[in-house]
Amino acid sequence: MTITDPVIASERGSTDGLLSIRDLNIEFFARGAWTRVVSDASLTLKPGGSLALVGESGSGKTVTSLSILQLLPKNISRVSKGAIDFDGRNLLTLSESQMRNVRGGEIGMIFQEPMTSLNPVFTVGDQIAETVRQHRKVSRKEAWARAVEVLELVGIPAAARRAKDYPHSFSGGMRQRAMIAMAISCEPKLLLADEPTTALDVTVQASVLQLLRQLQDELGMAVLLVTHDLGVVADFCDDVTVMYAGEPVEVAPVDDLFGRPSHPYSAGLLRSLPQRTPPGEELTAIPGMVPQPDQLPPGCRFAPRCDFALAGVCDVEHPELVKLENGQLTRCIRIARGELSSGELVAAPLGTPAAHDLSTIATDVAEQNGSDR
Amino acid sequence: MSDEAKVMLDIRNVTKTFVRNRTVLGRPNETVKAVRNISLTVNEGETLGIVGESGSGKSTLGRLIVRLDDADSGEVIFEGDDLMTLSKSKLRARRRYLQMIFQDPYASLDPTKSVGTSIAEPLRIYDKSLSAAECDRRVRELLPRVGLRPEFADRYPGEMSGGQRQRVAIARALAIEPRLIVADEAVSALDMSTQSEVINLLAGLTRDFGLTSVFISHNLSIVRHISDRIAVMYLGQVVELGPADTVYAAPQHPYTEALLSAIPIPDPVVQRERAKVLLPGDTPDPAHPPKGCAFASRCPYAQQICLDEDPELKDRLGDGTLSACHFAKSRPMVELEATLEGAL
Repeated sequence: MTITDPVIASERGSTDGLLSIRDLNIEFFARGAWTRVVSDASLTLKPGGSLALVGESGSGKTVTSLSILQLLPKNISRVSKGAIDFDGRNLLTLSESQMRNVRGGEIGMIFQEPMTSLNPVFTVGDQIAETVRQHRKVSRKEAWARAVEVLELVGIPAAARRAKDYPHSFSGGMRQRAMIAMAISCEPKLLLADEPTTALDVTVQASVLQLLRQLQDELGMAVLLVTHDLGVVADFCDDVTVMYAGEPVEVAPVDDLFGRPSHPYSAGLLRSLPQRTPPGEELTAIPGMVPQPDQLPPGCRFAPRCDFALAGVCDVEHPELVKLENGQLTRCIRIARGELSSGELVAAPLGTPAAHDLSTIATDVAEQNGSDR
Repeated sequence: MSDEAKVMLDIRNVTKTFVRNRTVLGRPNETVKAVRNISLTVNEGETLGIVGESGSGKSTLGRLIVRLDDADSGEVIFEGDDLMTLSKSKLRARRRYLQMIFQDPYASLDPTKSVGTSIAEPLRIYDKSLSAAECDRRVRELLPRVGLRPEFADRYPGEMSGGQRQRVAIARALAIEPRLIVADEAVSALDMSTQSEVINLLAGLTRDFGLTSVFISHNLSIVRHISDRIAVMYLGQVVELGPADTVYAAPQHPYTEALLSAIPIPDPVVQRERAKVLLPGDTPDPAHPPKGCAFASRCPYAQQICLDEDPELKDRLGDGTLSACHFAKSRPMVELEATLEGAL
């Protein structure tokens, strides 16, 4: 794989998408200093499209998605660089009252824990009607009617009656449906879904994803799905952005990401899926841990855990996100230079299988722990 | 499993009820049957996987096996002794051979105790003659076996990542050389790549120490990976029990079929093409289980008999897999595993 035209992704940053995040830096204040937890994050979402933001804990995927609606705690966090263009405006330049119109209006959001996101002392119908009245000039009665209508739309049986119930009498799957109903009640152009099915059982997850797909078709709504579950990504999304240690490392259409990953980290995630190892054999694992934001290695952030890292190259220069000939974006220097192919990434034995050679792992784990602190 | 496999754990007709709320006089008003009349065996040296969704009773069953909870009725026979009727002192002596690993390594380790003290605790309890130096020596021998350096004995849980804590919890469970390990969602709180490492560790230790284990999880792909046999639970009952390969390739119970088809296969091409069984409705309220088959209200194949008669768990097709369905038949699946060869 070679690069014909080394386009840096940020230059590609355009306003053709519904949502376009460009070169976003987010910093958090901790122990007396500002630490960058997201750096140069860029992503584009087409109207009606679905994009997955994938990564392990600490990759910055949730922080990135929360920053879109400016939901990060103001006193300890700041966006120090970049733009979040949504439907022709940079959301970062809007006032708090303008943002309130965007939240729940043009952009809906659902979270992992449906119970903590619903207010236990108001009925489900009241909470949805309140959202509707916040964004539309309608009477209480009309807002209530809309609440019942969206509850029906998300498949709550006897919606008119259930709208009068309190959240505690809903099951986990029903609560997440109610959250989705609230999020879509004002026909948003974009739905942010942060681990929407992680707390749910698999059979419930399947029906919630089916519902989201159906709503996306009917309402023409775009979905940004934040998840760590590659199965959900394969099931639901058109495009994928893989994040590692606060920055995107690969951007690709879903079939290409799974078929020919172009970053050793993406390939490592795929290979560590239990489904990719025959039963009874040792699972592959990526050795080591995600580095802390204030302990980032020089050069490529994945290099210390990468089987393909080249001393003098990968540990020196911090790589840019580069567009490959096939359209995929990667932050791997060796892939970009054509020294490594996707085929090699998926074929080579990955990492040191844990418990195989315990002394090696012991050193790995211990060293990692040492560098954490 | 060969026919002569020795039964290590024999669970017979175990039932466990919890009181959900009480009347003003303190009498039970509503009770939930978490485990309903379950019988199963675990053979020496095998790993039995127990899968099910929330509320299926899988964790309660795990707790009954080590008698963290008392069953209402039934027997849990571990190497010949019924744990449910053993006296306190006898139970204590047997329990050293039964250890449990819990889901949350943040909650299961005492933050005020060093790792070494936590691991040594069961040693000191079960062998009072051990000197402090001997305890310490054993702890430092054990740590490398779970992939941690001996120096970790002096650290505190607060200084460690989730994966490292779970390794400590495993070391503690192994300290007194148990024969049966019950792991309840032992890797569910961990990140993807850490999960694989801990699974490999558990599988390796099970093999090296010749342990028997019961692995409880909602994550079917992981359970498949390390289990010899699988028990599928629904609403407090086992609905299917058989060799892992058979159950995953061609389940016999419609619930198992729906459960397997609900797991997205991490390959977009395969996932788009495969047939999916979507279940209507929710799991029935465990306080009021239906009269007939518990799954009938959501089952696409249900007939009148399913509403009237609760099907027994038995070998219905004569192939060694037990299922609790009046209409049990082999239902071949798109395999979760190894469908990705082509993509690679």
